[in-house]
Amino acid sequence: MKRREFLTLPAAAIGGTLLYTLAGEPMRLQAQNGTVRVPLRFFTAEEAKVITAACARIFPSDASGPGATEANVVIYIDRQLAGPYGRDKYRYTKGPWVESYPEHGYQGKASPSETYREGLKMLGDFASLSPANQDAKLRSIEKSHFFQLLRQHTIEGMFCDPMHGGNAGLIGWQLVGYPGPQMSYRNEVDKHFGQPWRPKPASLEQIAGRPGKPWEDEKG
Amino acid sequence: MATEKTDVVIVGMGAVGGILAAELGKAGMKVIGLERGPRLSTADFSGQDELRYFQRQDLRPNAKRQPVTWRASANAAAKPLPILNYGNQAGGGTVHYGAVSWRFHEDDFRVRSQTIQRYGSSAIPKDSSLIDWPLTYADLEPFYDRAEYELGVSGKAGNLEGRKIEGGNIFEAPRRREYPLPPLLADQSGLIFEEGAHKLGHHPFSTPRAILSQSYHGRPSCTYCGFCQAFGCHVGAKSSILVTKLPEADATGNFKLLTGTMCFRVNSDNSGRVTGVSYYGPDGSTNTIEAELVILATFIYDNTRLLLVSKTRKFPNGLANSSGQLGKHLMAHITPRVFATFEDRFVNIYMGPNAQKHSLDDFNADNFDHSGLKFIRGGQISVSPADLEGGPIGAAMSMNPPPGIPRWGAAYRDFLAKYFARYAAVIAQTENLPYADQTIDLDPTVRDQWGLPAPRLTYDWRRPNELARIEFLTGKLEQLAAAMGATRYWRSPMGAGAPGAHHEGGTRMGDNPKTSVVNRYGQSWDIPNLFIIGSSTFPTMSGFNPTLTIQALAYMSADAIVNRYKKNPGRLV
Repeated sequence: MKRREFLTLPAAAIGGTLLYTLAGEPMRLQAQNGTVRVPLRFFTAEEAKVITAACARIFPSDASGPGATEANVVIYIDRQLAGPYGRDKYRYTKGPWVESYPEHGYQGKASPSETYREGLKMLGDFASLSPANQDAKLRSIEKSHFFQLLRQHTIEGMFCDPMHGGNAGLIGWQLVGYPGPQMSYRNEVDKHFGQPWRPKPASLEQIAGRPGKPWEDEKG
Repeated sequence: MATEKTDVVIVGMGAVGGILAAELGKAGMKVIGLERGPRLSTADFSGQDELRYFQRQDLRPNAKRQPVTWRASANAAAKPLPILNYGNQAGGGTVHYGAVSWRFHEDDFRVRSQTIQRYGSSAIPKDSSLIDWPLTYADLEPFYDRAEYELGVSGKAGNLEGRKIEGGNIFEAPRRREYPLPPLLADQSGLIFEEGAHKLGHHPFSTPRAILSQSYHGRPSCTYCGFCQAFGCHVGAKSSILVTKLPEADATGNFKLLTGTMCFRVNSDNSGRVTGVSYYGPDGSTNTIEAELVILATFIYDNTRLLLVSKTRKFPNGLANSSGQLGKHLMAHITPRVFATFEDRFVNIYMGPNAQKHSLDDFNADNFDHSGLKFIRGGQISVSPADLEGGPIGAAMSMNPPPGIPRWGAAYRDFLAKYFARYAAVIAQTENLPYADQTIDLDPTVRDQWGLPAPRLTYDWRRPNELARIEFLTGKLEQLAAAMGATRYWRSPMGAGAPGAHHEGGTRMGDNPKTSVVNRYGQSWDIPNLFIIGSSTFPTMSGFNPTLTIQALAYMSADAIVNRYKKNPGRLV
């Protein structure tokens, strides 16, 4: 059996976040000594560092706001790749493996998890490059299927419900001013004309009053 | 292997099947409904997870197990499409649609004669198979009325028996009475769309939707949560077949629904009649239903595919296909989009029902003069979130950033951070003409989870008439975005020819058995105890969403079956 790998993250980002074990049981992470150790399902710790660094260039963190690192995008990607999605649950996978029109989407053989293994080879020692060199590296692979997936997954990990592992602390929703999956705007929809409406966002767990369960763990 | 006997078997329990099941069951006919997906309930829709329902399309057919292939021309190799835009459970697409509910215009039923009369026959492209419907708007009006009142549609009349009413759609065909429910509240995007459209002299209005603006028939009103398109309604305010007609069908005591079942053949004998259907059960078993009447009520892919795979010695080119028209004249809406961002205001477009929120009809159908233009027909224009869904994943994935903003990096992050709550999309939905070489047939290699050949689409909308129509409408979208006060607006790139939403055609209706598959009631010309009902029968498509017309046709067919066919099972026309 594979040695369990962990990703060590600053507690400020992740303390109190709900994650799911391999058995699908909810597990509340608590900050200890300023860091938390998150068990990885797909990546090795070294791979997770590379993906974290790449996502941080796609959705950076700087003085003007938080980004993919604070949202734990890498945890989201790790869980997706370890689950049915990573094994191509949603795509017809019997060939003929020929690319043609954009509407067909990716028609190659590799599953998302295989695409990441290849992509990690392309990224190499990405985490140790300077930000400018990291951007140059990403630009050089911008047309690849791997980069398209990485960009898509960074966006999903920024803005998904936190039960999927990303959007930690609802950072993504706060960043863009999305209140989360509110069950009613009946009292808001014809008000705030032209004005921002920024209540404290709520996750599905907070709205339902009980932990949600990511469906990719429910179905094969 | 089980064999059952019944009066009627209906394949597909969506917009059509639910109506037929309820109406025929009420008339005392024993009905079995086959549905390949599950039967969900309102309680299943409590967790509105954008990743699951919008991004992974969990209520849609799974493209891995139920592939549909597409190619742009008969010379190209078809490959599976990644996303399938139709239903996969009891209630069909009405479970997760945006619930936009239009009546077609009067001229939508006579596009060919209207075009010739106004512009001459040279206005019709030579390769188009444009025909009139075998029925008029007036024939269908009573059934539109019934669908609106039985299901529950919210809107404002714009034409009451010929009297035009400002605030409603003044271009709509005359209706006998008001909508059963007042229009849904306009959100901010609707209000600025209305203001901008008025500045340009257009006639905007709240889009009619099968969503309850007030409680109705024991169901609660809309909460404006914004999870319609791609989602099931968490309170049952969306008038889906799941919460309207299926409970009615249950109450008749004459209806049995078999979920998880895949019909793979319509059975027929040599006397020119169908005898029932065969299907795979949830456990993989092969089963047969013997029925007096077979009704195909699936999405257009399967209506065509089932007839093709059910070919016999008598019908070597597909059951009920003596006309040779089966699988031809595939149509789909194409939706050019213009994105608009605002410096001076927030729009908060994630609030309220999310599909085609506010509309204008000035450039649809033959509502404007096409003289001097290089196309006929038009499109409906509306304001929506980027891909008719209000969440941030949908906005980011569906909205290409404006020129000058990269697709990733700090500038992209700042673009989303600033404009997610300050953007709107203006969208046209175009009426495209029928062409005989746009087809559905059987893919020679790709098979679905049951081993059936995948439906193969051969289709390319990029024809001169369609390109000119789209360019004209996109120009109107840009004018609207500017009039709405957008500080920046830009176009979404168009695709490479694949069909968009709302497919029509494949089993076209007509008034001549030699040139059409079914008559106005969806009854096969060749086999009188076989009905095929749904948008597969549309001769032309209109710029409007098809569902209410599909439902009106289902009511009309049900009425003809109950009041005429049941007494005298023969040709209705």
